[in-house]
Amino acid sequence: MIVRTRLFATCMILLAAFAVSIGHASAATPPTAAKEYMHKLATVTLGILSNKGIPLTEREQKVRKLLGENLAVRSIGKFVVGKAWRTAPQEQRDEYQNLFEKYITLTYAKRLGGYAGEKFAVTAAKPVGKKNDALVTTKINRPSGPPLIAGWRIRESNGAFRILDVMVEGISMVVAQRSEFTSIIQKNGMQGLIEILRAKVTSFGIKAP
Amino acid sequence: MKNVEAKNVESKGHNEMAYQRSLKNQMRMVAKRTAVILVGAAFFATASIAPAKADFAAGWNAYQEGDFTGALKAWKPIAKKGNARAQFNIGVMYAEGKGLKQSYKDAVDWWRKAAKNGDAEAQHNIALAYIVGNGVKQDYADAVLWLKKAAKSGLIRSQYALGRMYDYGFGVPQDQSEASRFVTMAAEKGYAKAQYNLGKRFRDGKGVPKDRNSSANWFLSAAKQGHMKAQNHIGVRLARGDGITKDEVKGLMYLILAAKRGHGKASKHRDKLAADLSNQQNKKAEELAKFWKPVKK
Repeated sequence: MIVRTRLFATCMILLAAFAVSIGHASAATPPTAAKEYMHKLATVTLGILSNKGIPLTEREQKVRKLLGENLAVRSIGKFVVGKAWRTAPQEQRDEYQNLFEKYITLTYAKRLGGYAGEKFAVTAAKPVGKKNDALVTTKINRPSGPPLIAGWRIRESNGAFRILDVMVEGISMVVAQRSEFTSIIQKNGMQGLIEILRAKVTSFGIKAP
Repeated sequence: MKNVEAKNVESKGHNEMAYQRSLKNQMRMVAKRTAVILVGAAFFATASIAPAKADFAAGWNAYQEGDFTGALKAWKPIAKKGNARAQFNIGVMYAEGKGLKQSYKDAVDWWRKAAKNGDAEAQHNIALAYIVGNGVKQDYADAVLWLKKAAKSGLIRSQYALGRMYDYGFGVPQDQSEASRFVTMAAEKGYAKAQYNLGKRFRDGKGVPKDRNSSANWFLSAAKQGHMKAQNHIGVRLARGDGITKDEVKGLMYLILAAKRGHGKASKHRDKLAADLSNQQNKKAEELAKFWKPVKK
C-alpha cells in the first residue's frame, strides 16, 4: 500500500513537472471545447479505421499522420528523456525528436489498427492542473472484459488543441514512457536510446503477395 | 562371288540402317518419356505451389480487412510447411499483437524460421530485436551478426544499420572506415538516409577523406529524394557555391522546401537568402518549390 501510494505520488509530481515543462497555455482550455475537439478527432480516426475499402496498412498510415498533427510530440519527446535532454548536443536532440515522432505515431497507429468496431464515447471533461488544461474522459466498450476508460489531457494554444498525455487506468503514458526511456539511457546512453528507436521504426512490416 | 559380296555388303548396309532406325526410335521414346515425366513434375510442382500462393494472398486480404483470425488461419498451415513469407508475417502479427497476444518472443521465433528459409527481412528484424532487447536479451554483438547476414543478402536498410553499429561501436569495435564502407553501400543503392549520412562523413572527414564536393553531391542526392535535412544543407551550399556550382535560386528552392516541412534552421536560412535576392529570383525559387517533386529511387 505504501509502495503504491509512493508510486502514485511520484506519478503526480512527474505529471505536474511535465505540465509545467511544456510551457504556458495561451488561455485556459475550455473543457466543453476540448470535449468537442476530442469527439471530432475520435470520429475522424474511427471513420478511417472502419473504412474496410482501404487496406489496413493504408488506414494506419492515415491515422499516423493524424496523430502527428494532434499529439504534442516535441514536448512529450523532450520530457520523456529527462535530464539527458540538457546535455544532448543539438544534432542529437534533432535526431532523437525526429525518431521519437516516428516511433510514437507508428506505435499508436499500429495499436489502433487492431480496432474492431468497439463502441467509443466521449463521456466527460473537466479542468485539470495549474495551467488550465482539460481532461477529457472516453469510454470504449469491449466485447469481453470491462469497458476501457481513458483520460486525455488536452491543451489549447493559439487556437490549436494538442494532446499532452493519455491516462489508462490511472497510468500516464508520458510517465511510463519517461520511466522506460530514462532506464534505457542509464544503460545505453542517449545514442543507445536513439538506436533503439531507430530499430523500432525501421523494422519490416507485413509482406504483400 | 562379287554378287555374294555385294549382297553381304547390301545386307550389312540394311542392318546398319535398321539399327540406326531402331536407335532413333528408342531415343524418340526416351525423349517422349522424359518430356512426359518433366511435364508431370512441373504440373505437380505448380499444383503444390499454387495453393500456397492462393493461401498467402487470402491471408493478406484478410489482414488488410482487419480480419486477423482469418489471416492467421490462412498463413499458419503454409508457414508450418516452410513458407518463409507466411512465417515472417506471423512474426509481425505477434510483434504487433494483432489477432493474438503480443509476444516478441514468439515474433522472434517465427522470424528465425523465416530467416532459416533465407528471408533477409526476417534476419533484419531479428537484428533489431537484439538491439532493442525485444523477445531476446539485448545483445549488440548478436545484432551485428544478423545485420551482416541481411546486408550480405543485399538488404539496403541492414547495410545502413550496420554502418551505424560501426559508427558508434555497438557490438563491434568502433571503426569509421567500416562504417563509411557500409553507409556507402546503402547510399549508392539510393537510400536517402545513407546519402545524407555520407554527405556529413565527407564534410567531416569521418571514415573518408574530407571532400566538400563529394559531400555536396551526396547532400544533393538525398535532397532530391526529399530528405529534409539534406535540403537544408544543400540549400546553403548552393547559395554559397560551397562544393557545388553556385545557384542561389535553386538553393532558395531547397530551403523553402525544408522550411515548409518544419525545419527551423532552414526557415532562418531561407529568410536570410530571400532578403539578399531580387524579387524575380524569389518568385522563380517559389515557383520551382511549388512544382518540385521528389525523385523516386
